[in-house]
Amino acid sequence: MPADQAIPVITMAAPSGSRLLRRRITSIAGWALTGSALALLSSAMIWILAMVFVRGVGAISIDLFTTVTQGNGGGLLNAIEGTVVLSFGALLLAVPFGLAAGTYVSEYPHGYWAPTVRFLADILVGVPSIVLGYVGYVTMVDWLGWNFSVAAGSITVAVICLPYICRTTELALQQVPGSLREAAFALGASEARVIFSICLPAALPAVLTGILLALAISVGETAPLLYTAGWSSYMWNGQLTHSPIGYLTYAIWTFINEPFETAHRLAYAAALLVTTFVLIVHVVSRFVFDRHRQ
Amino acid sequence: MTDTTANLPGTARVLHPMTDAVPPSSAATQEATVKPIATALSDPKVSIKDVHFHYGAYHALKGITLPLQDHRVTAFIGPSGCGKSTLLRILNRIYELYPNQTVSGEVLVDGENILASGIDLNLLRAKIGMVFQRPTPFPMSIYDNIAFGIRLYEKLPKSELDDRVELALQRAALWTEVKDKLRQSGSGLSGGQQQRLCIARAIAVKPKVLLLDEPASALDPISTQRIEELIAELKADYCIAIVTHNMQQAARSSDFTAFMYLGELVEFGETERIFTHPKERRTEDYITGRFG
Repeated sequence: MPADQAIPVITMAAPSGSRLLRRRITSIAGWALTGSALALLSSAMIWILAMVFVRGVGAISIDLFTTVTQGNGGGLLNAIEGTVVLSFGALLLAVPFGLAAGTYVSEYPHGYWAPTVRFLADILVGVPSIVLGYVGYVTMVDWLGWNFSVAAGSITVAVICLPYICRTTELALQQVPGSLREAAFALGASEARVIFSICLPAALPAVLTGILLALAISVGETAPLLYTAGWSSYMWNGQLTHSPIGYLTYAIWTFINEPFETAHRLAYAAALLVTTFVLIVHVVSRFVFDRHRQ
Repeated sequence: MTDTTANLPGTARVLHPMTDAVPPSSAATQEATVKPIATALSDPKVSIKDVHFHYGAYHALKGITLPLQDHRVTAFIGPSGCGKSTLLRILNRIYELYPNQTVSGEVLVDGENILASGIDLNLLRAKIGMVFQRPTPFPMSIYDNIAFGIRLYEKLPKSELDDRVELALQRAALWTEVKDKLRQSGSGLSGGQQQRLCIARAIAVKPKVLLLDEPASALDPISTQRIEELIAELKADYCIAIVTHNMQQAARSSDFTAFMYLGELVEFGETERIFTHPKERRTEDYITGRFG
């Protein structure tokens, strides 16, 4: 008999009708909310991408990559080159400083400057990029007299990228297990050796992800460059100062407002190039990071 | 407290199913077993003298005094939080990586006080090897894992470095398993292999003392057995200190045992006596499993 009595206790009574109904309704409501959120987000995303791709693909031609901008038409070779130059310059400045700052903040958390550096990096992330552009304009373009130039544009974009690289480097290094550090120190390795030979290589995939995201940011920035790089319809003459330079986001910003079909085509082509590039960078960085995780 | 005079452990042991099953293979091991014990005992490799340790305000070690003999294994047992790992971490001063930890007392290694202020910590750690609870292969190839420590202090031609790496892997009983994949990443090995890699890495730099902080606690029984066999072989060349939660492991693989409780050294002596005739009630209660 005890065994018979035990069975109903274990297999708990089925929920009563009303409770089951309530549970079903809650479940359906949950699924509906999640589903509509997904639909809303993905439809916005699909709409933007579809518009950029449909209009952009129609505007793509060989001339786009072989000729410079002429008035409201022509190609985008000058802008493509300018974006490459400006992003390269920005990363050239931001990567060493960002890596150094992130490493310092992570490896010397009790260091005198660590809280300050982290605080400043957080502030910098929060400053609107157009404000940084204006600061760049006032200091470099105007006060230093560099005019619109590669130097002013690259430095401004570097300042925008800097906190992202610093932060991702810090987080990446914090993911390195403390036991790995201890093991290296226990062999008699110096601090520099532990950081450069053990910690940074272990954190490399995550650090690279941060650098790729900074690259995506620098390619997509517009406002700070309007203030600092100006615009040029010609190829870059190799000068760092006193010489404006073209870039793709300018083409989007300006030509979409022009009342000419050729200008619109340039704007959509530029939008397609920037979007595709940023998309590729995100996919690559995700790929790098996932491989790191495994 | 210390009892190092009577019935010295050389060959006979109480519980030794594992190492007894595996006869010592290298000539060096046999040489060590015939080494006159009296000389080894009169001159301990490491003398720990009245060591106190504080984590901030917490008094974690309260006046620990004991010797570590060369060519012998000393096991530290005791319940979690009793200070055994802390004591090990003092011997290579790895605790100094973290703030608010202070130590007092003396630790003499070959007569030199390693707690003195002028000591070069990197050199000290090169002389006192340590293996941790979890295997910690560096993010590099198996070869470079071993060569990392050697390259820190020695500039060897390639062929000599190759020999040193091979020797270390052979001593750690890993050579036959990895000799065809030295260029592959160390993290691709199994847990037990990774731990032997870490032991190989530690002995590659030819330390004087080997500290093992629960080296087998994260491993399966087969890997654990291999590590224990390895310890039995390595003591021919090193002064070994091992922290373990596993009492059978302490009984099997050590010559001396120190039982610690609440930051104090309750009892220290040769392993056979500690496990058969403990003098202290607390030791007996612990090794018979009444608390811990």
